[in-house]
Amino acid sequence: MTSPRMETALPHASEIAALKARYPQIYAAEQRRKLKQFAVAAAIAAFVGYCFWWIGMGWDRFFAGLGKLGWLFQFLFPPSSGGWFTYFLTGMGETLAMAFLGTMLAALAAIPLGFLAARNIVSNRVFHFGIRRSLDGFRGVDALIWALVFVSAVGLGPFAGVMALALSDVGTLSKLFSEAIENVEREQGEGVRAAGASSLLETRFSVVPQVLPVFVSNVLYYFESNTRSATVLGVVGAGGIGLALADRIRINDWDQVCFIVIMILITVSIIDVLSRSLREKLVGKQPLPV
Amino acid sequence: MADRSVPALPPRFERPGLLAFVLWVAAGALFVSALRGTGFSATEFFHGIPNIVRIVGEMFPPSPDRLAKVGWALLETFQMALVGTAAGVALSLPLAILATRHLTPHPVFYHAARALIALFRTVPDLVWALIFVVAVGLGPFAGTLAIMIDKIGFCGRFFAEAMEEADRNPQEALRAIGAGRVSVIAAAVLPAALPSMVNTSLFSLEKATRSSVVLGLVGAGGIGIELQVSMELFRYAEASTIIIAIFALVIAVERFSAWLRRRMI
Repeated sequence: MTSPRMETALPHASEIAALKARYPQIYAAEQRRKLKQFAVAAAIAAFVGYCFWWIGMGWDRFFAGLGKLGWLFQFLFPPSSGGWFTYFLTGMGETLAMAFLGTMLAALAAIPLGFLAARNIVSNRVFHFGIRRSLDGFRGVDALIWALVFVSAVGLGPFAGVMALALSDVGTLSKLFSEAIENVEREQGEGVRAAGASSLLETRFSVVPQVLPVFVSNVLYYFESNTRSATVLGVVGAGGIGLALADRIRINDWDQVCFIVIMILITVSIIDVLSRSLREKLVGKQPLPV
Repeated sequence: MADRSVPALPPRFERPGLLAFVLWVAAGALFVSALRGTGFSATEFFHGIPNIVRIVGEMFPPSPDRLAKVGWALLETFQMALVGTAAGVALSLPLAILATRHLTPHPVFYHAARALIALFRTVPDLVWALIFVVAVGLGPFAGTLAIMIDKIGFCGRFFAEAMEEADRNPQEALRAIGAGRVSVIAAAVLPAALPSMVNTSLFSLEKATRSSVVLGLVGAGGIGIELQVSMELFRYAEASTIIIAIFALVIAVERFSAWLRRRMI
């Protein structure tokens, strides 16, 4: 479908030149903007290039590395448990227990913290800022680092892993909870209040029913993600299958490495499917909280 | 009678359905069995508390002893994250095209690409780092490759999703005037998917920064090794300096990517 406007919509090159000559200030501003954009892009590209050089990532090393990976691959098959199947299964169970417990403890602690950090519950600005930033502090540090700290504090074993997962998720869950609380509809609260409820009862009967499905769905998602994180906590001695995996890699038992990785893949995908279907039942299809 | 004119009020508390009840009981049982399985005992917890208090006490004030060394390690960490993400994003693009249902040349490629992406995504990055340390030796190069593999998985999946969701009409229009597959991808699919892809790339840079911090624990370069050494030598004041530095880096990268996201989208 060609409309007559299409031919006239595009100005001819000579027309553009004439416009440029007539309104230099407009075109100059545009050019300055473009130049600035180009400068920022070039600076970022140069820094990335410098980093490539600094890490020593050239084509030859890159392909040599991938080649080595391919060479290792032949030792992976056939996967075998090497007679350690019950040990691996216990490790996997421990991993799941750590993920579950860590998420639950984080969620229990995050419920009061989430209410405290919500602007519509506690409206003091200084308090709000303080609690949000300290929650950020827990959030910014990876569970593995907390695991390192807790292994020194309470010794090797899954207990350290549980504490690490709980601590690193308290920040994130509290933040998500408080955002859910800030997003509740006011009308329901007004209705409850009109029926003569105190502010505590208003929270119980208007805020809680609105946020509970969101809370549960976030907790399920974090259980999912913690199952992944918990598989590696064993590398620093904080319990779970990670210890067995790291050991097998270090002593070059690649068939057992493959076996453990397959176990992890299966477990993680089962948890994924279960938690996704539960979450969809609770809150419908929603983008993941990341 | 007054009570006859008032309809019966619904109960204030809704009773849970059978399924919900069973699920709650199961979750409770799981919680208790997990407590036992992980050796989580209240006594151990309370025995741990003085230890934790002592360690936290020793962490303050953070010691500036090896600030220069920590600074360089931090820079190396960020460089690993940046290079790994850049390489991962570049390599994930062709893989994502193969993993997009309507752009893939053949269903075999589609399923192979999806399987590869799933493998890269599900195996944790620390495990990739362990493997690459064996393959290419200790140092930041192993960590960079580990991040790259992890990001190929992450970006591959989300790039493919973005390309599948891209508006089909411009693609059909181009095909109708005789454009080949490459032209359709370059001129219709990529422009439509670009904002979402930029978003994904920036987000994966943030994630890569977080994970590059811990890769050092297995000897794959970056600041993790510094932290482990400080912890193992009980130099908690040094460890807290490193933790604060890590926190600062993560926040800085988050701010930078938020700024870039605002500028670009």
